[in-house]
Amino acid sequence: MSPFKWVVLGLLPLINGFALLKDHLQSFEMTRTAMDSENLHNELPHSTLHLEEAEAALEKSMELNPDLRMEKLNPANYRATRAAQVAVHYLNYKQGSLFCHFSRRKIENATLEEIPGVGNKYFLTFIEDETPSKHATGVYTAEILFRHTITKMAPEVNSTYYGCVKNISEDENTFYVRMRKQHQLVAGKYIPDGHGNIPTEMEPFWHLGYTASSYIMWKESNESTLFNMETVLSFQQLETENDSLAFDYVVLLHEMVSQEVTQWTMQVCWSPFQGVKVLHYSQSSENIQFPGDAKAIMSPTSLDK
Amino acid sequence: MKGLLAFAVIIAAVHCQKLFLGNQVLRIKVDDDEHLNILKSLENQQHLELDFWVPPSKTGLSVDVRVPPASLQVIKHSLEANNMQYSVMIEDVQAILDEEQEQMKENRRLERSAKSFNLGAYHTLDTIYNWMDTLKAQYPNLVSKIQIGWTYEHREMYVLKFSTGGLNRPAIWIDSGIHAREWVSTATAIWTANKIATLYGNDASLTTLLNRMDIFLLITANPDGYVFTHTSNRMWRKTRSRNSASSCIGVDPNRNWDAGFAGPGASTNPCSDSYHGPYAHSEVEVKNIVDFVKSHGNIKSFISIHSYSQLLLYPYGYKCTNTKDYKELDSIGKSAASALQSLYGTKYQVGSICAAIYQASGGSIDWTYDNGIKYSFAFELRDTGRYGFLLPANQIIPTAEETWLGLKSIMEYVYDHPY
Repeated sequence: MSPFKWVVLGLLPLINGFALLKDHLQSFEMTRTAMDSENLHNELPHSTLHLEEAEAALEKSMELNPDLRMEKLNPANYRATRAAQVAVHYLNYKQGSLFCHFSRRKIENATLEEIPGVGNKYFLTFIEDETPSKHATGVYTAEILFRHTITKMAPEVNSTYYGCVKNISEDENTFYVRMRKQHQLVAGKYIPDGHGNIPTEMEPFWHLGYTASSYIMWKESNESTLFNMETVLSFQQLETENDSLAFDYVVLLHEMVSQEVTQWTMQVCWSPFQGVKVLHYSQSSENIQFPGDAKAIMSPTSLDK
Repeated sequence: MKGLLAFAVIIAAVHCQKLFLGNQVLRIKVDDDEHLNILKSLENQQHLELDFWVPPSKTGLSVDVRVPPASLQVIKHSLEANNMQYSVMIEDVQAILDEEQEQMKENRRLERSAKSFNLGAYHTLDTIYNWMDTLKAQYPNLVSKIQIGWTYEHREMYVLKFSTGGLNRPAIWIDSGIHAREWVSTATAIWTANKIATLYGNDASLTTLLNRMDIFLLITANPDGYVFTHTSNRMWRKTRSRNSASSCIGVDPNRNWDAGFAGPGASTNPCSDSYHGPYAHSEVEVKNIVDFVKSHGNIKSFISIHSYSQLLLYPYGYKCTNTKDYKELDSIGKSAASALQSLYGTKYQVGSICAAIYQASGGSIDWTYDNGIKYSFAFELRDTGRYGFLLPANQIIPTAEETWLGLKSIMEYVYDHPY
């Protein structure tokens, strides 16, 4: 490995926070309870953020290797925004929570590193939210690598963040227990509907669709895309042989740069222990109408308590 | 006599009677004294129940008289026998009264519906068009409605004009809904129209502005697309024009302007949501606005409202170099975003289109800027992607309220900096 790469690797702990957290992020096959103990019970961040140190280290590496192409970006520039969005999608999927999601916060600092023969790497730091809420999590820093390869590769993300608070897992357990009690498979359409409404009963299915869609959005992203999920067009619960709940989902994703809204189908599994998993996905050619005045529907119309 | 008629109408209305069925109003020429005497004697014949709206007074002055149906034949024979010329002014008095009643009812309904129109909900095009008339009726001295042309599917395109008079005053233009699926932009424009109307005379700053400038507000710049989002596809963006060489419909109206037309950031594929169209201003909806702006010639600020992303943008989109007014526009934008944020904490990013979202050619505010309208801006309203285009209706009013502060900030700056 070139000296440059050693420098970058060496810098990673500074950028990412404690090495423990970095290892944690890389082993997402851990059960949720293990994640819980790391993240959910703390409202404080795991790593103290030493911004000045991180920046100083980056500048030092530039001195060491003049071939290094580093560019400070305007934090409001679209390149930073798109990279940040990728980090959010990645983290949402990896955290795998039903009710707790990352959202893209305002970027404080952004740097782009062009790595010849590899791709582009973005280093981002985010401004803290003034009022963190129960359902929100926060990203402090993120490092996103877009490899420039002939075959499409998902962007690689490393990040520091604070995770969901404890109460979320109780909500998830409650929902899980309730779903296991149902006598019929649950199905629904249009969450949200054309007017942005989501009936309360259907909210968990929106959350599940959103976390699962994050997988697609992460996988399909590159430096020329910015994805958001618009709606769950339909979901259909499937029979399973194990403890997980399983669903077929059809979602609409909006890609901002091309402005295209595309339809995707995926098979999703979830349990409080395993988190959200997408088994497979593809672009869907099924002709599902979505008129603006269509209303959200669910079958059964309400879940048995 | 007319007072008696009015009284009788009220009685009739109360009793739902048709008192004046078959009554006619005749206008009778009085050529000489003989005619005058005949009319005066007719006046005295109570059983005829004639009601003179203009009584016989002197020769040369015509007489208007309401004649009940029972007396019509008698009167007409009399007049003809005496060579007196007359014309039927009103064929059926009751019909006129019925129409008047209907109009009164309609005006009361319009008034009621102006007060009862739900500003916190998404509405169909028909409802919006009806509401525009009620607003006009409620504020006739401030609000008028101008048709600037037709859409591809032959719907009228209406612009609301807020004006206290003058001739071709310097003006501020605001449009929304050019992209059909961006419902909250249309809803915000409706709220804004109502706000401007109610504030005039009550808010010092806006009143001062409207005493010297006009405001034009195009609530839906893409009516065909908007209807389509309700009836068929909530995610439709473009116009609904037919493309000659493709089965795909529609052109992106914000890639169709003559500003770097067909450059980067617009598609050549008719099936694409950012298809620029066969040539600049090919879309009649765009052409209508272009023609209006050019013929007006005195628009000082052009503001386009979109959703979503929470951005306040200025030119350029078609190229990634700054305008010569970049510093000023950036400063105006930052003040406006700050004012907007002050209400509910909603954060906006400010920047040129090219820097903030993407390079995109053929956009409206690039064209207006390059055509001399210095203060050209675009808003991308709430949210940042959680709901995207499907912003819940309960966010309409908060969005409109905060956006108003941003708009006001820009408008006040424009007022203070004439050019």
